[in-house]
Amino acid sequence: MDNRNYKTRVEYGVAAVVLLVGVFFIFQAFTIETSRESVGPRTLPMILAVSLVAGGFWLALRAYLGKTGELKDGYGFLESDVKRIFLVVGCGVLFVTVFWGFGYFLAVIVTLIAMLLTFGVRNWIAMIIGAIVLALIFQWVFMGVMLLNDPKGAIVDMRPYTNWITGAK
Amino acid sequence: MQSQCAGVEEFFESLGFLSIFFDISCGFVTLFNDPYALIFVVLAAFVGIIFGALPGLTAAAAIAMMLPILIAYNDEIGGLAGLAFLYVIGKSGRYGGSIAAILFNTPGTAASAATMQDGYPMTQNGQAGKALKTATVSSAYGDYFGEIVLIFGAVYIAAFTRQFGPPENFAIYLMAFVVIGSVVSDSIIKGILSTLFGAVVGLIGEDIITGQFKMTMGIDELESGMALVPLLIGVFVISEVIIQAEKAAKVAIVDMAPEKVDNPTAHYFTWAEFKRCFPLMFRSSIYGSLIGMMPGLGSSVACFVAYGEEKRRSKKKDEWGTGIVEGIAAPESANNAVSGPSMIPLLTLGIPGSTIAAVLIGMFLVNGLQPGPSIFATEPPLFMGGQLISPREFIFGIFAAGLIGIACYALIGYFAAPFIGRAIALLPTQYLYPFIFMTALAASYSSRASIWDVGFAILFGVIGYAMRRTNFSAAAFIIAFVLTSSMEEAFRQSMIISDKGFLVFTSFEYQGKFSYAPIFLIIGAVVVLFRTWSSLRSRNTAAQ
Repeated sequence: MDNRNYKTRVEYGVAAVVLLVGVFFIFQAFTIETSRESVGPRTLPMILAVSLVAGGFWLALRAYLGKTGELKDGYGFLESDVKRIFLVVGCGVLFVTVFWGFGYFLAVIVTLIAMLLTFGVRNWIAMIIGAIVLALIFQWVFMGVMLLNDPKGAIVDMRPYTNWITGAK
Repeated sequence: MQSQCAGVEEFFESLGFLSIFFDISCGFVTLFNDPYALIFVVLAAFVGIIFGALPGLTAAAAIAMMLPILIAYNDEIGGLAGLAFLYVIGKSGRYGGSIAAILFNTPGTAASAATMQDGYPMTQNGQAGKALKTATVSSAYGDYFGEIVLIFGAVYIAAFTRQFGPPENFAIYLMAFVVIGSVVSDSIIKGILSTLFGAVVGLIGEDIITGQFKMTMGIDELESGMALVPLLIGVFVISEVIIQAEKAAKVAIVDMAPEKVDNPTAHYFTWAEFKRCFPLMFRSSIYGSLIGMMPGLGSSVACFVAYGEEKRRSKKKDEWGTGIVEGIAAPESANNAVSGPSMIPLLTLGIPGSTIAAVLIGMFLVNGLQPGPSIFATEPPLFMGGQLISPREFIFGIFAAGLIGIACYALIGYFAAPFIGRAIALLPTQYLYPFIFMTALAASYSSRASIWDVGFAILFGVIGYAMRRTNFSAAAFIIAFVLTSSMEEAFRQSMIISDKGFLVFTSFEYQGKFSYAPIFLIIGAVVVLFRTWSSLRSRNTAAQ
């Protein structure tokens, strides 16, 4: 596949995503109740969403006519490492899941270890000690000093074991 | 209200145009009366250099991660400290990018991309110290130039724009959307689509007039709208971490030439070189200031314009790119001269000209100030740090912080840049980026103590990554997101009070006064047409 062909295919994909986003927001705009004014709460969201759809069609038409231009360095996903992208996103999802199930402290430990693994670190002692130290610091700074809400985990409530860090009772 | 600078006010007022010096004196008084603000200015100078020098990370990333903490402690540290911190970090971050460009051949920020062309060859020639000092001096020069343009320009433009009503405000927002969208990206359509996407996301939440919830997708957390911090963290930090994770699998991130910078203090930017570069730095600062005033055009454009123009003017064109001080002085003075004037659209029209200016809107609002021409008013007073000050004194306090901040980063950079560079080269990136990722997640959570915001940050991290890979603009997306609710308010207010429907935006008369709205719409249309024409012309030239 030559460079121009690749760029055209990516541009078709981009056009499809823009169209989908536009259509999604059109549906969302229809959920807004209209008011009696000529210009109500639905007007601007609808104009923007329809413009997105129009932009998506424009991108698709441009790709169809082959006017996407030359492939430049850094464009597209040829150099993308899909595995690593999924690993980083997976670490984010892991943080949210562990946070929901077991609370903030454990989420920081587990996610940092997973991220270090993603970046190729294999020194387990450094990873575990680093993760615990960072979790202690974050717990103290965000929950103890900034007084953010430290919700209990839906599966296990770890707060009785971490409250000493923040001084909470 | 008793001004902090009472006593000398009448004398300065009698000087007319020079009364601006009274305002800036008041700014320094306000700043020096606030010890937190002074500490935060110094801290911002240092933090900005570090973040700017880290390849891939920018001042916007630093701001995204620190914003929740600054907002949480706004009452304790005072509004001036938080805003001064954000303002100075934007300046020092731009400068910090030059360290990575010169030492590692990797621009720390996009604004330093042109600096690499002569900076890295100088490092290879064993002149890293001279290159870094040239960058420091020219950055500070450009920054001071831009700050003077800001101080003198903003006040007088604001006096003119203060009379604008809702139709003109809407026309300005619309003009900003199309201008930013059309100039910010290589592709005009993708730039405009980035602003449309940011705008539609910015409309999620409670309606400003009816109070009903819009496009919340049934998620309670979205009833108060999408928060700025997770968006910033997603598109600037998490997307960068994804890119660094990809790089970690292939090559080392930094490529320093350590044997060449072992003795950096042996090389100085000499007085003779400074005198030689002075006119060039002056011209480059003018380019930077003019570019900075235009919303959407940032430091990355300014540095290449200045580099290209000064190379064209030079009698020794062949030497450019081989490692000469002029090749650093031109882009560095231009990219830092952008910083001050990029605040002019924000302070005179309420339009952020850059991502950092967009974030500043949030901090202004937290402190009860609406960015726009009214920010230069003397009433109503603000209660800050245990004292009453006028908005005008407050804003000049920020300008004073900018002037002090430039001196701070220049001093730190002049004496410590080689050491900062070497320290960064030694940083184990496999530990650094996971730490940044964790800090980003924690900052997302701390913005509203909502786990949903962490999820949104991750989602927008993926979106930001895809945007980078397909030439969409994250900056246009963020600026549009921040502006949309004000734009909708101006739009609907105009329609409520208009008896001509949509024609209120094209009429030169509004409520018995002259309306500038059509002029702004024409300017927007002209910019888009010009960009389209120049894009088509360059495409045709390339095809030939």
